[in-house]
Amino acid sequence: MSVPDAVPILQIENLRVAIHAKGKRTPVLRGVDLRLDPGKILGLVGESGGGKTMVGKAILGVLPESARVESGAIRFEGRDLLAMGANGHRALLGRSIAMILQNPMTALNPAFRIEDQVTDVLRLHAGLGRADARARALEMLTAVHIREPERVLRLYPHELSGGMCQRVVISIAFSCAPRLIIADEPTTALDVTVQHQILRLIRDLQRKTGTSVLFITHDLGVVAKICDSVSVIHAGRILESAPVAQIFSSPQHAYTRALMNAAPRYDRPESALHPVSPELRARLEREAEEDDRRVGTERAHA
Amino acid sequence: MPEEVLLEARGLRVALPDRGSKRVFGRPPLIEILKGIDLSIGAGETVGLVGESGSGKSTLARALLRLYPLSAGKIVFEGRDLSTLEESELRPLRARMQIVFQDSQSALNPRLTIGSALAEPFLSYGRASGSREALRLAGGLLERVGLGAGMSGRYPHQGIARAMALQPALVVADEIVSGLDVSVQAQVLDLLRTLRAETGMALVLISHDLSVVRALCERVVIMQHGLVVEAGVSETVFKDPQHPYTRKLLRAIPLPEVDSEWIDSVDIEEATP
Repeated sequence: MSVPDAVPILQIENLRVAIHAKGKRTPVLRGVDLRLDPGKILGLVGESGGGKTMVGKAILGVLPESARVESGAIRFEGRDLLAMGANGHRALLGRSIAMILQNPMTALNPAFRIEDQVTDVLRLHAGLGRADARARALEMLTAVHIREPERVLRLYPHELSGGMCQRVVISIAFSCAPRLIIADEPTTALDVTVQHQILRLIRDLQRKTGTSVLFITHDLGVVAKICDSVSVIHAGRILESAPVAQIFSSPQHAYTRALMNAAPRYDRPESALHPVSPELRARLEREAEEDDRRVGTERAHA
Repeated sequence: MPEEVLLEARGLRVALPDRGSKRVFGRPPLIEILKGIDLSIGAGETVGLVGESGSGKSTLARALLRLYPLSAGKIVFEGRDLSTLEESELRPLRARMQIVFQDSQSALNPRLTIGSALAEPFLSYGRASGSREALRLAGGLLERVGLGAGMSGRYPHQGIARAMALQPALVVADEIVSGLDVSVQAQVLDLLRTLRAETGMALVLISHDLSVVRALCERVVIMQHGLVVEAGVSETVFKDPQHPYTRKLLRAIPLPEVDSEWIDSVDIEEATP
């Protein structure tokens, strides 16, 4: 159990990001607040276009060129990533902050053997020599339950299945014992039985290493099973944050309830499926616009 | 199960070229995808075909409509044996059996407007006297599926509209809600329910998502490695699954409720390259 007043691994405060294209400013994150405590898994859940991937990119410092951070802070172990400059930020990536992305086939470089991709991180960030890096790579592949790791090291990504590639990506993410992992829809492209195993794998390694995870997903079911707490995002605004037990027993925000009522459940076939209502969509849109106006006025006065 | 059988497949086998095999000369060897499938679909029935990647469910969907050559078995549709028919003889039957693919964007001709793409079946099957009437009918279709402005090709509505054009007796929908946000998915499932009630068509829904199938289908067929491992009335199969693979599939679904034991209820299998 973490002490409530311990320094969070990740604390995002009032993060505002807008895309500037063709002379037009489009807000994508409208004052995001998030808190992730050491050794915990925080789910960030919402529909596509809601800004959840943008949050991950902001933490990793890989926002699109057209995006501008307008205000806010992203504190990693107390230090603001936005204030430390590109070099300081980059020094943390791979070593202290790692990532697992949705499509393992594109996360790995198709032109290099698995060995190069697993050992690269270790040589670069952990400063290991060739032999040590190779030994550690074998250890990591074994840790993600890959049989014949020696042989896998010699293979190329296209010679592996999707689930196997994701195991390799996970082994790379955990290899330098990072403090924080950003996992963006890491199981979305996988079969459901493979997803079950990959979720367990991530949770097992997370417990063993004490790493904290920001788990970005559209699937409330996955959130319920792997996360300690969850934040619901829509139109770049966090609508609700709570421990998982609370959000599933008494969701506070209408949008959270709407997402829960939209998904079919095989154990409740009689319940009707309701799309998010147009009234709720209109209300959320209005609130986002009001937020834009308020910020616009503040900017004008600044 | 309804009395009238619409489609009956017996001992279906399909082998396709193995694209993974590296050969310089000659044809790639065939690899058997469907290894003897029996399936029957009643008139107006909704059947869910469930399986993971490599199970052969999409191949079966296409094979049922004779979009792939069969290496063995037969398919009887509305009393006619599809396996023995020439393409020209199949053509009039094609209007009666339609397929909707996952991605409308790539399933429709990008050089045609939505209107002309939807008008085309009316013209080529002589259901409209001219292009003006065909376009009018196409407009009616769009209204029926509720295709609004600003709906992108990522949504399956266009494909559904096109499949409905010639009032088919059977529509096969291949993973058409996967990858959609749950809210849009709810809309599409509701649309399929409505269309089925209105037209009395039979629907074969192919999905990796058992919850989606449970929401829509009276019967469910579970596939693994090119074979049917379990089939039956949805209510029964979901309540009391018989095959270990069905049980494993059901257990793997993360229901949106906190359950600390779920994640440990699976063993991480050793992955072999």
